[in-house]
Amino acid sequence: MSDREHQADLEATQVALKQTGELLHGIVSRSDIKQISAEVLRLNEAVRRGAAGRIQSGDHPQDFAMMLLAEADDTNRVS
Amino acid sequence: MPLPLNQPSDILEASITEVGARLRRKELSAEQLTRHALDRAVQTQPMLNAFIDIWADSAIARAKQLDLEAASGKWRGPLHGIPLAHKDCFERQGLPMTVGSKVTGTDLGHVTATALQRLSEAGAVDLGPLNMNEMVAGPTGQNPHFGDCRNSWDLDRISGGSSSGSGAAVGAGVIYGALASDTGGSTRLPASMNGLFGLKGTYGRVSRAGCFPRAFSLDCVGPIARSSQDCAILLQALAGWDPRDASSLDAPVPNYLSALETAGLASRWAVLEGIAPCHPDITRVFESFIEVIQTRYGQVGRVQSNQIATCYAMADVFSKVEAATLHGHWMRERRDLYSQAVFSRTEPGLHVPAVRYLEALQMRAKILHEFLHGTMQDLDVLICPTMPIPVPTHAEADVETPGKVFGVVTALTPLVRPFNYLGLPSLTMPIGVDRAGMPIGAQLVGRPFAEARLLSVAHQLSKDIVWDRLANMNRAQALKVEKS
Repeated sequence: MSDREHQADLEATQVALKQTGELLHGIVSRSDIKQISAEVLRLNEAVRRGAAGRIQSGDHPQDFAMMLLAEADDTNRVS
Repeated sequence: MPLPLNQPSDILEASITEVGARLRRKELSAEQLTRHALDRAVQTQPMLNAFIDIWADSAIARAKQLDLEAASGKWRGPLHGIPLAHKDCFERQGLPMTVGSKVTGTDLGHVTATALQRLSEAGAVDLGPLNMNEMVAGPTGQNPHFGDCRNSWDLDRISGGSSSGSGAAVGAGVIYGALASDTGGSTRLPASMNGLFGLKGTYGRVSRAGCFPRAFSLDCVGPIARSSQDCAILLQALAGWDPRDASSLDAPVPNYLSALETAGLASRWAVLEGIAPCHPDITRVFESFIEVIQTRYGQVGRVQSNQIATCYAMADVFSKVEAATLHGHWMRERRDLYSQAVFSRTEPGLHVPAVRYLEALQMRAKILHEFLHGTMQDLDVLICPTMPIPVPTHAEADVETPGKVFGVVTALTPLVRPFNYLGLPSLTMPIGVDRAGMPIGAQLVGRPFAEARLLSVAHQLSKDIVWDRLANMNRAQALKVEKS
């Protein structure tokens, strides 16, 4: 993405967030909306990139706890 | 004026095992020990600001009760009569809990947190609530409502957070250990910055019930103490399934203390590289430490992971969205009672799309699997520094300066936060000092439920490097005087 496109995204997001913060949440911002917008865009992009090709129909959040138990270190035993 | 330090011979500098033995032999009473710890708490409080409140009367009453029990032959174990204190985010029935904030008001706790209950049942004495970052949010120890907590090695530097009082009070030799909670480094950072051991266990290893959350998908309750052995004793009392916590996991609880000598044997190691550039002092001390590891455990490899940046971002999403969910009604109704830093850090959570949050949840197991069978394939312990930069001064890390909070958090947390998303156990241990004499920590990361292994290797390596906290604190204070 070019700097110009990024700047356009940032400006569009600022307008949207200023409205949704108050309309959807009833919360008036106390922060620099430009900084909040940049943070939201950064997080959104990072998760989208991470999720690409990884999510399948059978995935469930509870798989995580099951995997922790299934992959336990062999020193975790009662002797 | 520097913090007056304990003498090496002071009973407050002894290990939990040593002082426990003296208590059991009746060479010392729990009441005497508690009074001694309370004196030290009062002495250091004007400088450190580690406590929100010091509960002298209830602590002495509890110690007297434990002495009576001991006299009648009832001995609860290695924590019988040991003075501790805890981050003020653990609920105590009928008592106030500030969470380092003015937002939550004066409501009293309904049910005592499971972690506190378990320590109490094990015989520990609670000296009172410890300072912390507002609402469990922030790595600095800065708190505009209750005052900043200061570093026990150098009062001009930050204590680390959010478990700031836990790090400072244990570091200053006021108490033998403290409960902390860790959402993105909040146990490991203050432990590292105060030259201590801090353990974030596997997600679900220690009950979160009654612990005020930052993000329930990430939060881990764990101990900060002055040695790996003391951490093992504390974890023994804390670990295990809890019906009050839906995220608690029912896995075996080994004998951590007896495993200290053996659980780390033949561990396979690698340095985890490529996450963040480190300060030259940190690199120098860290590489020397790797040589010590190689002497004891053999070859230490070098690995990189392309999942770490993703894990950091996912953890950031959990933290912000879950915090915004919890704080939404207060952010509407009590917005001016928040500090600027906490309000600003929570706001993005209102706007991250729900789909992104659920994607981060849904792919968590897959990323963990990739990490364990990729980066950690044929490895038992990964190691990297706990922090990439030296302990900052209060001015350098002032998160209330407009626009500064995101940068400070990013600078302090890149090496710790990813492991909250992965849910893996991570332990920080002191490995040396920088040119200012301040402590440097190494983070040891294990496979799920590898707490016994991590405590064991940290125990052995700490002996190998002959870590002496008090001697290093004295040296840091002397260096500072020299420079001024």
